[in-house]
Amino acid sequence: MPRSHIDEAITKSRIREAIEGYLFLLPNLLGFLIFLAIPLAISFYYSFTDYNLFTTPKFLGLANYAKALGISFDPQAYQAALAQGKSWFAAVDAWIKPNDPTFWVALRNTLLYALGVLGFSIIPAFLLAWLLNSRLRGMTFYRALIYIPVVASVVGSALVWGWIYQQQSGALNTIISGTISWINKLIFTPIGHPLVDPVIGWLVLPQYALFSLILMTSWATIGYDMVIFLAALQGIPGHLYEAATVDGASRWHILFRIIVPLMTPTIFFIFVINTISSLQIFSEPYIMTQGGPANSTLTIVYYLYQKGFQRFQMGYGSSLAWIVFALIFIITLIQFRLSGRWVYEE
Amino acid sequence: MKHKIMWTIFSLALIVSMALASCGGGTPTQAPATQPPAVVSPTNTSPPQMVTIRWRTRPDNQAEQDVYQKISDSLNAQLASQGINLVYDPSPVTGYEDKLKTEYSAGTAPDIAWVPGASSADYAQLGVITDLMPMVTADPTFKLTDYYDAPMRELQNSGHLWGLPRDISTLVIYYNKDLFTKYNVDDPATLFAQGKWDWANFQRVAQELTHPEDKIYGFSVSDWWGLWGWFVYSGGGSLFNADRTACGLTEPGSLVGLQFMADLFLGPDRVAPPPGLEGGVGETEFHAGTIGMFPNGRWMTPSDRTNDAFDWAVVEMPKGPGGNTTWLFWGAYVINAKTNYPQQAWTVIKALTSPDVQAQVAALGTNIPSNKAQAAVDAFLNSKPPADNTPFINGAAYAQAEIPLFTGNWNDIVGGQYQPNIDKIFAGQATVQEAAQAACDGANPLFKSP
Amino acid sequence: MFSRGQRGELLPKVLFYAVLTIVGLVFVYPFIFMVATSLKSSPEVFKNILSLFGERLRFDNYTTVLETVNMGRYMVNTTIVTLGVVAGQIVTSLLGGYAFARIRFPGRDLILTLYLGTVMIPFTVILIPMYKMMVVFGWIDKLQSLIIPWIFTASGTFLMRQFFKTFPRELEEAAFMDGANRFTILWRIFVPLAGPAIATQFTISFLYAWNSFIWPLVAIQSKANYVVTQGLADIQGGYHASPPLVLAGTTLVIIPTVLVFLFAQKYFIEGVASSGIKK
Repeated sequence: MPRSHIDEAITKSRIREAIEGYLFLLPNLLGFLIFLAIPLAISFYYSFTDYNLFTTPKFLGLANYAKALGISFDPQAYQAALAQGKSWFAAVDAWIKPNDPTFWVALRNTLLYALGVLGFSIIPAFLLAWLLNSRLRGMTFYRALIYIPVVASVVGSALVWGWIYQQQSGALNTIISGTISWINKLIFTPIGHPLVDPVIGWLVLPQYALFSLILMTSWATIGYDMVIFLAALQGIPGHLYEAATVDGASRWHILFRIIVPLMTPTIFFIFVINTISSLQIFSEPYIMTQGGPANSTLTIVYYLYQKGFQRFQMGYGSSLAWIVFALIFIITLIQFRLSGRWVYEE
Repeated sequence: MKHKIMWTIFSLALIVSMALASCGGGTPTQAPATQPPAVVSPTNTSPPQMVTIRWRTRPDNQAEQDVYQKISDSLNAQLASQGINLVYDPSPVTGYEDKLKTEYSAGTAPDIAWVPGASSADYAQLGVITDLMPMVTADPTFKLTDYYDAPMRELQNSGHLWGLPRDISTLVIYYNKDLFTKYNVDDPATLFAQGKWDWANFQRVAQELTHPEDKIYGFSVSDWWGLWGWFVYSGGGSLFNADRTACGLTEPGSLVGLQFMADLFLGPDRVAPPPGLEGGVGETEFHAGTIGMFPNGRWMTPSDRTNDAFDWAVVEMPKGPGGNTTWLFWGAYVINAKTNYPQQAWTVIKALTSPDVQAQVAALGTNIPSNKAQAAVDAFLNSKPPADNTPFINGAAYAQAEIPLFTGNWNDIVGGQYQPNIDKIFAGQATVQEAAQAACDGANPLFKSP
Repeated sequence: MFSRGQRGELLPKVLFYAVLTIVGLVFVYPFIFMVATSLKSSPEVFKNILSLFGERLRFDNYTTVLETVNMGRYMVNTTIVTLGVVAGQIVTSLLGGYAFARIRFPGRDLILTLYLGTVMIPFTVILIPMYKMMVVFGWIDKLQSLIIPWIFTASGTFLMRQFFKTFPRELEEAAFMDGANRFTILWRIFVPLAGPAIATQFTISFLYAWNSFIWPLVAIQSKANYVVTQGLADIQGGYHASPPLVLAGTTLVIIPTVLVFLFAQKYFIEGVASSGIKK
C-alpha cells in the first residue's frame, strides 16, 4: 500500500519518542523505584501485620485498618446518657464508639491545622508578593526578611518560638502585658475599667496550643509561598500591564481581572503543595509539644510516630500512614478535579 | 551566557560531590581507642583476644558527655589487660530512644546501652536485651545488694535481671530561698526539721508566696507524669493496682491526691500557673525567680547552678495522707541480646556501675549513684550547691521506683491514656473524677496478664 | 504595585515602606530575639527577656559552641551532602520535568500521578524500611545514605513540568525544523529560560538537604559524619540549661541558609530581567 512507509515512519518516530521519554526519565525513575517504591511496598506490607520492630511481623489482615477507622454503636450508652439528663449531643457522643478515639482526635487536629495554615498563609503571601513586586529600592531586603523564617530549620525555630510563647516570662506575653498596661494607663484605668492582662498559656492550654502551632507554621510558610508567587508574577509579560494601563484600567482591575487569573496555575500549585505538607505536619508537635496538652496538638503523623516508634506498634503505625496517604490523595484529587473550573492554563 | 556558567557549575558540583561522597568523609571513625600493647601473660595461657565492646549512654549535658568520654578512656586502659577494647559511642539527647530502637531493629545497636527505667520492660519483652541473672549467679564477687533496692526490684522480673542501674534521681522540692525571705514565709527546711512539712503547711507556704500582681507563684510543675504522679502516691493511691494489671487512678487515695493537686492549680486561690510542658521550658519560670517551689529530680541541679540568680535549696517532698512518698527515677545499662561478647559486656557493665565511676559522675551534680558504697555517696553529698544534699539520699529510702511495666506498654498507657486526661484537669476541662474515670476506661483494655 | 512610571507620590510611598517595615519586623523578630539572647549570659536572659543587650556582648558563647561541639566539621559534611542533593535534584527534575511536559510516552500520566502520590506519604513510614535498606547496601554511617536516595524529587519534577508546560510549542518546533534533537532542545533552549524555576528548585532542595534531621539522626552514627542539625540537637541536649548557648548554636546553623537564599534570590530576579522571557 502506498501509505505504509509513512505509517511505518510515524510508528518508528513514536517508538523513538517513547524511548527518549524513558531515557530522560531514567534517573528520576530509578530513584523512585529503588528508594521509594520498594520501601513503600514494604511499609504497605507492614500495615497488614502486627510488627513490633523486632520480631517477625505477624499477619493480621485488615485488623489495623479496622481498628483505626472502625466504629461501633452502643445504644445502651445512648439511653444511659439521656437518662442522666445529658444533652442530645452528649448522648450521640456516647452512642458512637470509635475503636480508636485518639485517631479521630488526631484526624480532627490535622484537618484544623491544615485549614489554619492555608488560611493564614496563602492570601497574605499573595498580597505580600504583589506588594513586593515593585521596582522601588529595598524590595530585596524586605523579601529576605519575610523569607528567612522558611530557611530556618524547624529544630531551631521551634526552640526560639518555645521561648517566645512561654507563658510567664516569654517575649510575646511580655509584649502583650506591656501594651495592655500602657493602654490601661492612657485610657482604661482613668475611666475605671482597666483591661485584664490575659497571660495566655500559648503552649500549655489545649485551647491555644494548636493555634499557636498554626501561627508558627504560617510564619514559616508565607515566605515560601510569597517567593513562588513572586516568580510567577514576574513571569507575567510586561506588555500586559502596559496594554491594560493604556486602556485606562485601574490598579484593582489589573489585579483582579488580569493578574489573578493568570496566576491561577501558581495559586493552584501553592494550594496543593501547602495542603499536602500541612496534612503531614510532624516536626512542630515533635519538638514543641509532643502532641499535648491533652492531645490538642496530636496530628496524625505524630500519632503514627507515637504508635510506631514509641509504642512498638509499627504495623498499626504503618496503616495510619497509608490512611493519611489516602486522605491526602482524595483531597488532592478533588482539588485537581475542581481546578478545571478556576485554573486558567495556556 | 550567565546560564551556561551556572550549568557548568552545577554539573561540576554534582560530579565533585559524588566523588567526595563515595571516598572521603564517609568512613566511620570511632572514638580514639588507645590500642594497648600486646599483653604477654606470665602464665602459660595465650594472650587474651582483644574484643571491642561499644557502649552508649544519654548524658544530660555537655559536661557529663565529657566525663563519660573520660571514664570510657580510663576504663579502656584498665580493661585492656582483660582483653577488652572499650569504645564510647556518644549519642545526642534528642531522639535517643528513636535511634536506639531503630538500631535494635536492624541489629546494629551497641553492646551496652542505657535505657530509661520505664522503657526497660519493653526492651526485655521484645527480647533485644540479655538476661543478666546467669552471669550474676556465676560471679562470686558481685552482690546485687550493692545497689539500692528500689531500682533493683524493678529490674528483676520472674527470676530475670535485665540490667544494672546507672544512677538514681530522687524527686525533691527545689525552692527559692530569696522569695521565702522576701515575703517572710517559713522556710521548708525548718518546717521539715520540726516535723511539720506536710500537705497543710506546704499549701500554706505556697499560698503565702503567691502574689499574682508581681507574677510570683508559690508552686509550679511541668505536665510530666513524674510530677502529677507524685500527687497520686502522696494521696495514698497508685498509678496501677497491686499486680499492675489495671489502672489505679480511680482508687480513693489517687483521687484525693489528684484533687489536692487540682486545687493548687485551679480556682481563685490557686498557687500555681498552668503547668508548662515537659522538657525545660516548664522549669524556666523557676530559674527566672518567679516560682517559689518546683519539684524535680536531681538532674535540674546543673541548670540551677548555671541559671539561678538567687539562693536556692532542696527539701524532701511534703508528707501527705499516703505518708512519706517520693519517686526514684532511674535508668539502666542493658546488654544487647545480639552482642558477640556477653561475658566481656558483663565485665564492662560492672565497671560502669562501680562506686569509683559513679563517684566521678556524681561529682558533676546531675545524678545520684545507684551504688550504695560510701565512697560514691560521699562524692555525691559533696557536690554542692545545694549545701544540703541529704534530702536526695533520705528520699531514696522510701521512694517508689520508676515502674517498668511488664504487663503493658508504659507509653501507650501512661502517655496515651493517663496524660491527656490529666492535662484536662490542669486546663479545667474535666473534674478529677471524670478525668480519672476516662483515663482508666481507656487504659484498662491495654493491660495484659503477667 | 508601584510599577514603572509612578513617580513623585511621596505619601503613599512612605506609607508603603512603613507597612513593609512593620511586617518585616514581625517576621524577623524571632531571629532578633535569637541573636540577642545568644549574646547574653543565662541569668540575664531570665531577668529581662525583651532586652536587646545584656551587660556586654558575649561572643564567647559562640566559641564555646564551636569548640565543644565540632560545628566546623558538621558544616563541611552538610555542605557536601547538600551540594550533592541539590545538583542531583535539579538535574533529575529538569530531565524528568521536560519528559513529562513535552514528550509523549506510554504510561506518562500514570507515572506522573504515582509521583504526585508519593509526595503524600509521610516520611516516617518509610524510615525503617529505608534504614534496613541502607544496612544492606552498607551505606549506614556514610554520607552516601544522605545523598543518593534523595536525588529524585517528585515535587521538583512536578514543578519543572508545570514550568515547562507554559513554554510555547513554537520554541521546540522551530528547533526541530533546524534538526535539533530533544536533548539539545532541553539544554540549549529550555534550561536557559528556566532560570527562575531552577533557582526556586535550588533553594527548595538546599533547604531540604540542609535542614533534614530525622533521617541523618538515624542513618549517621559517628560524630565525624554528623550534619549540622544533629550538631544542633547535640547542643540542645548538652546545653539545655543555657538558652544563650543553644541559641548561639541555632544562629550558626541558620546563617548559611540565609546567605544562600540571599544569593539565589538576587540571581533569579536578575535572571528573569535579563532573559527577557516571554517577550
